[in-house]
Amino acid sequence: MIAFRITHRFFRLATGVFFCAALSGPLFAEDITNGGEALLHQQNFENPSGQIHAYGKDKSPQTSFSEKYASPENFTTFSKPLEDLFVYTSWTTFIFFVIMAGALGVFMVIYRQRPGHTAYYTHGTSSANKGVRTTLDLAVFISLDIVLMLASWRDPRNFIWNYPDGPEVVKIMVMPQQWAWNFKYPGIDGKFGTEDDIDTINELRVPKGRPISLQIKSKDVIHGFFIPQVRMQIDAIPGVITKFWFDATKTGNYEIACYHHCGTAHYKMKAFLKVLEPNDYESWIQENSDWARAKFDPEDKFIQWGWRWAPDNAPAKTAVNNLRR
Amino acid sequence: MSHHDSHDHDDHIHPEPTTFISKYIISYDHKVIAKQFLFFGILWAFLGAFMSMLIRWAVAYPGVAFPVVGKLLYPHTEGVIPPDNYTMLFTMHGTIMIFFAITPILIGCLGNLLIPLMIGARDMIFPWLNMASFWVMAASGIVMFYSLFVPGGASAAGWTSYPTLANSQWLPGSGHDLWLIAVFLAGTSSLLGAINYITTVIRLRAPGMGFFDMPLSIWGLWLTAILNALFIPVLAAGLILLYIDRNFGTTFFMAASISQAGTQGDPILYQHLFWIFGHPEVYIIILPAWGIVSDLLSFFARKPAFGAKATAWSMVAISVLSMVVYGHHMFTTGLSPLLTTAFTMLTLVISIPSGIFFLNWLGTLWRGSIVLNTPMWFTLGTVFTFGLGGLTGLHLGAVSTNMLLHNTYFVVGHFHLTMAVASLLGSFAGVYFWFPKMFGRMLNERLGKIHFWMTFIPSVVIFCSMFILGYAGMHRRIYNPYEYNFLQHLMGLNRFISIFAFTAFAGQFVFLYNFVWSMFSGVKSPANPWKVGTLEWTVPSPPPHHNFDTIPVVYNGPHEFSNPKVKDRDWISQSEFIEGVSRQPV
Repeated sequence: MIAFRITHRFFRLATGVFFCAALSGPLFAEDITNGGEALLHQQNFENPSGQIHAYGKDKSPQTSFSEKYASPENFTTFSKPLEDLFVYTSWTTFIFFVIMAGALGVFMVIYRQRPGHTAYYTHGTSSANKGVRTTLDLAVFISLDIVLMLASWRDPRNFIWNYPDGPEVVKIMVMPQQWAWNFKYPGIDGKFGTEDDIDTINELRVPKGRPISLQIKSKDVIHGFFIPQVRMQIDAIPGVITKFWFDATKTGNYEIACYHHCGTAHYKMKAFLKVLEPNDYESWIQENSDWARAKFDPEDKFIQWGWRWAPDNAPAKTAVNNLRR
Repeated sequence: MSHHDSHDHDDHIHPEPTTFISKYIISYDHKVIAKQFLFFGILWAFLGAFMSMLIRWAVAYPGVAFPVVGKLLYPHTEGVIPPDNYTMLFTMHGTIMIFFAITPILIGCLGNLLIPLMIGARDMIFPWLNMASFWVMAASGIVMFYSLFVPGGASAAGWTSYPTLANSQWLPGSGHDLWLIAVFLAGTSSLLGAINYITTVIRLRAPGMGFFDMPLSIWGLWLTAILNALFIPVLAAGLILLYIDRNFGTTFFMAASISQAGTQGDPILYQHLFWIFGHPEVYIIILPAWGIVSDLLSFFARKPAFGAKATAWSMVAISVLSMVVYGHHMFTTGLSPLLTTAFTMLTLVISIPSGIFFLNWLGTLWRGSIVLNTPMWFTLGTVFTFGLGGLTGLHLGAVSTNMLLHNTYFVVGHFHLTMAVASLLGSFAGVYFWFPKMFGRMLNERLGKIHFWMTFIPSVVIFCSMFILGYAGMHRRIYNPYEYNFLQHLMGLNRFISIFAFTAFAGQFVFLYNFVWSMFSGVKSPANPWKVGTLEWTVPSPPPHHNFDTIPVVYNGPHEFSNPKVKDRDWISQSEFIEGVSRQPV
């Protein structure tokens, strides 16, 4: 009876809360398509293929909850383990949470105070009690912590901070500032600090299928380099070069976000990532290197930013002093 | 009094103050100081919560005027929250909630009230320091409040205040200087309190009360005080260096490439200083709540606290571990892989002691006789939300999963569930439970339960939905997420969250009404309304100025419920001697 009363009371109050929410229905009713479309039109991104990978926009109404709220699709060849680990950790913690919350709920009902029922006098110090506690604690530790520890040993060494090296690597310097992203390509000669360096703002073009190695340094405050499809992030710090790498298996247009609060317009510090077919990329580099060499102005110090490319085996964070050219 | 072994207990009783000023304003009485902290904290908590409403509105309804008071607050934009104001809002929301709401309520109020009463002391060991602790806090509050109105606006660098954004070139207003001063003063207040708490617990425990006879609330508060005393100075160092960087041209946190002097500093150094303090800080805020929860579960399950000694030791273990895990806040700065692995492992080890006391909580409920009144509902709510928040901490502690989730709403959901919701529900449990001891009247049960459900359900819904936002890639502190195409489909979910947030805010007015109404017109409370045995319930409600007519002698543990050898009732006071049940006095 009391169990019923507790459940009844719970549902009555829960209904109240949901009713309050429902009363504000008009606020909620405005469908995302309205707001979303309006905002899409504000885009001034030049977009030849006319398609940005916007999640939710093209989804049919049948899209399942988990599809709708999934991370943008991973386009790298290597960062799947991070995602798998997330899914594993989430499910395992969820199971432990259900056990914990279930025990809490069941105990609240079956051990509620009622006539004729008295509490069992124990301090929980018997070896049986300790055994159960230790077993459960170790179950959590082994199934979650050990797995996470091993992964955290493996992943940084395997790929997170294992920077690619070799002739096929595309090297790009990144210098964010309030509130834009500057990118610098070595141009056709493959060397930074020469006349044919290509500079772009808020647009990163990379070829499909080749490792892309970035060295990042902020011009002013701390920013964060975030491509949701890559599943990894790195800070951009003034005075320090940080390193990042990724590759892309799909051509298309994607977005780069600043994830680190960097001032008033942080929310629109966005760059675009264009993954091109290797041939298209090569011809783009060729064309722009020629253009850059033709337009090169040695007096224009503003455009000649950059630093000596930190060696690929250097640590993930390298103080700029040692690398000043 | 025959076993009176501590010379710190002076038998003379200080005379009660008579004037209004000495009684209520410049008071040396820990009970009055506790109330001062409580009112201070509640006031700020409402301001901080109101700011979160503005934040939620801006994220869910970008470009729409804030209803009712919007035009008043933002006349120049006709009620729309401007983006620069948004950055101030989340900065001040974080700062206020941590330093001016939870800290005063949980540590300032409950710490002051409970430590002398629960260990059987007449007052804190340094009453003057205690008084100073509140008034430094009040000064800090005034500075912080003033900083909201200076030209250029309040601080806008986030509550973590990372340079170089927090340096004067990028944040030129005096708002941030005042912010630094206010947080420094708030830290000073905590430090004064901490010295007092640590010493009081060591020196003034009633005769017969060993460390493991202390209620676990005192354990939580004591460990919090130790962490405060160790790590507030580190924060203070960071704040001072940043202050002189901003005002006197030094370059501790400025890289050579951007400092006009050309001297080399390091912005990451500040992050180290901040998080050496910042990680213990989350435990500073949650430890008292853990202690209160451990006690209240036992009190209302009418059963001894399951493995109380193990709970206390695991809290000690967590306090120690909390000092060496801060690096997990900085994985994406490019720490060396060796440090990263070390910090990951140390962080994950925290789950062992956490698991122990968590299972002890469930063990306390197991075969108990559970009374579901308002303090118990809040206690159970704390257990539930801390479980959620704690488990999601595993995702963030390991570098591999942190790489996906750093600075996304997943982090926001995680730390709100642990250090905001769990510690706030824990504080509410404490306030509902000890309100009769503070004011001599009971809070209304019915309103209390409405308050609980209006707080608990929305909080869980809000912050669990934020896990979804985070995994979908929504990063933190963005004024208008829909600037990004990959976030546009999240507007519906954001509105859903906001509506629950507004509901939770509305629920707090139920508490405010209950609190004010019950203070004057609530049912009068007997000395021991909950039938529990800790020392504060052996004195009248509210206690006299000197707390205890005679200093009690402790013969029993704090959680002696349902002892089969005691026939007429299910509880025993810590200070009563029962032949065959109590241990022999030492």
